[in-house]
Amino acid sequence: MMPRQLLVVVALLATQAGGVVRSSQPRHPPMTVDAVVERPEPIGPQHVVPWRVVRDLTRQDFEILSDAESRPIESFATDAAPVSMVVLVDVSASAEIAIDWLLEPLQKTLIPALKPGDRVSFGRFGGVGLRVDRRFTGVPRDLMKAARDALTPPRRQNAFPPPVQVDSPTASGIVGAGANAGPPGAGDAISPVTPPSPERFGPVKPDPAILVEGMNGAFGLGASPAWDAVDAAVTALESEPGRRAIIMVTDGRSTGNVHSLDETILHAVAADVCVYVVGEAQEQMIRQSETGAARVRPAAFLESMAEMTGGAYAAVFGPEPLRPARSDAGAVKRWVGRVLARLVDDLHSTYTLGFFATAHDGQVHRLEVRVRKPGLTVRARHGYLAR
Amino acid sequence: MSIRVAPLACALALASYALRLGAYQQPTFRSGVRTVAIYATVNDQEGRLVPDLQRNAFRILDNGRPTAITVFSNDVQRITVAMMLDMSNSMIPKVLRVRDSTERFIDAIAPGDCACIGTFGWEVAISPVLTDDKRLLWRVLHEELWPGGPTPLWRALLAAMTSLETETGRRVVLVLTDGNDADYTYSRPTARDVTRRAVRDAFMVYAIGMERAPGAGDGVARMTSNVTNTVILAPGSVYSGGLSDEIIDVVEETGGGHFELKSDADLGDTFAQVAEELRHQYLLGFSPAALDGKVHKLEVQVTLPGCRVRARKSYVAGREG
Repeated sequence: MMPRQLLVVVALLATQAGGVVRSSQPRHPPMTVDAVVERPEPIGPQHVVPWRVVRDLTRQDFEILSDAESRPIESFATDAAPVSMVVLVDVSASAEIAIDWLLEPLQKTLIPALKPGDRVSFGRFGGVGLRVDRRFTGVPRDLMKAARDALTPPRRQNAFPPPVQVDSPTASGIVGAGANAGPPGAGDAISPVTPPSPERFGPVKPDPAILVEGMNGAFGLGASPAWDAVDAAVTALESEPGRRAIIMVTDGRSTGNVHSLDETILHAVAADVCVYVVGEAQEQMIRQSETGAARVRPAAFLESMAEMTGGAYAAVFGPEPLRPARSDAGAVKRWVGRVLARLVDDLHSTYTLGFFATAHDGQVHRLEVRVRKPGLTVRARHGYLAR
Repeated sequence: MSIRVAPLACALALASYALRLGAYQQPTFRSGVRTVAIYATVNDQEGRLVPDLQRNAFRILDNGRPTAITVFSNDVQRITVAMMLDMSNSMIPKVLRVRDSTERFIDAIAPGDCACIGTFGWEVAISPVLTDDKRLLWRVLHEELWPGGPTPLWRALLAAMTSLETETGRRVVLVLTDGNDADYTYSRPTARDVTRRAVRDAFMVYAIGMERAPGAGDGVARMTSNVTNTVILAPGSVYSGGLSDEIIDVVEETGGGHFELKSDADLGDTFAQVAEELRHQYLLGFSPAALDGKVHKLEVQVTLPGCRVRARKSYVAGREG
């Protein structure tokens, strides 16, 4: 069954696709969609994600539907373009994958897994604010410095009175209801937010390299604005060439957001940014009454975001016995490192398919990529912005 | 926010009401004279709201001395509120009930109101979405409630006040909890800090206490250290939940209201009752005789027999107007 978020976004895409003027004589260059094809495979000692990427497909194996209408595949490529990515890390109190556990995997596995031309920037959210760096680099020594700078949060603020981080969006900052016009194609699905007053952000930070830094209007210790962080990372990636991706490490307990999950997904889809999530796979079934129970599963939202944007969700903890125990930091580091390396490998294992849009109306249209071979699953964004 | 801003906010609120009231009310504001705003709730003997009293039914005592009421309104009030929902471990069995009942409060939000939703547990998180748009509030309620963790009650209340500090008029913090403060941060605030901030900046605190299910939560005893004014953990002890004496003191000091609910009571009705009460508070204003920067005791009386009035019990007579 489709998760609620998926249904909402699909409905939005379908709504926005209505009333388009169809053209049988395309005069615009073709759109492209990146697709990763996977075959489900159980986690094993040498296999940290429950899928294996399939790399030997041909053009004839694929089918593209735009607004539910089949479109010819105009181009087909398997030599994946360099990837620009933002590594986003949840540093909030509830996150169990500690920052200390990430720097080593980044250094030992993610950075070595990068290919020539790849570029990375870093961001963090939660606890004491939100920060997304727009300085992308592919130089290994610069990458580690950037990782340390971005991921080391300011001192935990436990002092009274409750903290309001003084850093703020830059003049060109995006996050913040007053500054963000919302994702392209979002339409009237969500009405404007009352802009937080400027005092909420404190003085403007002069560093132009930092796209967003500040509490983003949220107060108190620990708000984890995961959706706003993704939204900011998408904005940072919009000017990057090649394949664009976000790798987010989080527990999924997103709070204190200006943007909704749906808005964030639409923004990512329209900007052709896929979101990969390294999550914790926590799940609780809680008795609520004599007859009812609540299922608390933060991964559900993240899985929706990953699916809609053509990314994937990989759990670090969870019911699989082969996954590391939380108490074993060394095992967690190794596991996280291997997951990160696998995700980077996935990003370089894409098929790039070209097609003509059904319209060029500046709206977000529904997109579906299918593969004709049985037992395979395609990961591709579920929409595109018809420029 | 400096201590000087609160009186200014009150004055602005009163000025705003003066404009709205138009021909019906003609409050006058003289340059350099500060006006202190008081929001008062009046109930009859059965606890029903009494919404239609006139100015002459009220009396204000400033440090025990009667003072003239210079501003009065019994109009329906707009609501500016931060709703703080306890998501601590002991609330886990009630999380759906809390979520669904909070929708009742959202239903009561009207155009022109401002509301935001916050939670406290592992984290204190308050949505930056301060709005009268029910869809946005609904979205926060359904996307951003995550149960689990301790009960950083005082920190949550202070954060809620900070989130509203740039708002004008009556600013309400509504907290729903089943326990006393249990904050594991190093420099945790106390009830006294909360009261001081609320009095200084004229916040009104409402509290809804929920009975704790047997065996739920962390076994916190209802004991308070005389030294640190914080809860002492006593594993294995039995605590039935609800509101502590400290938070009731905070509520009463600020003129708010508190409600104790049994575990099977309709929380939605209580939320609706709070909204109704906030709509029908009286706005009273007076000019203090002395702007001495000190905390003054306030008493609001109603001359109508059988009626009870709730209003803040003190204010800071700031020098700035």
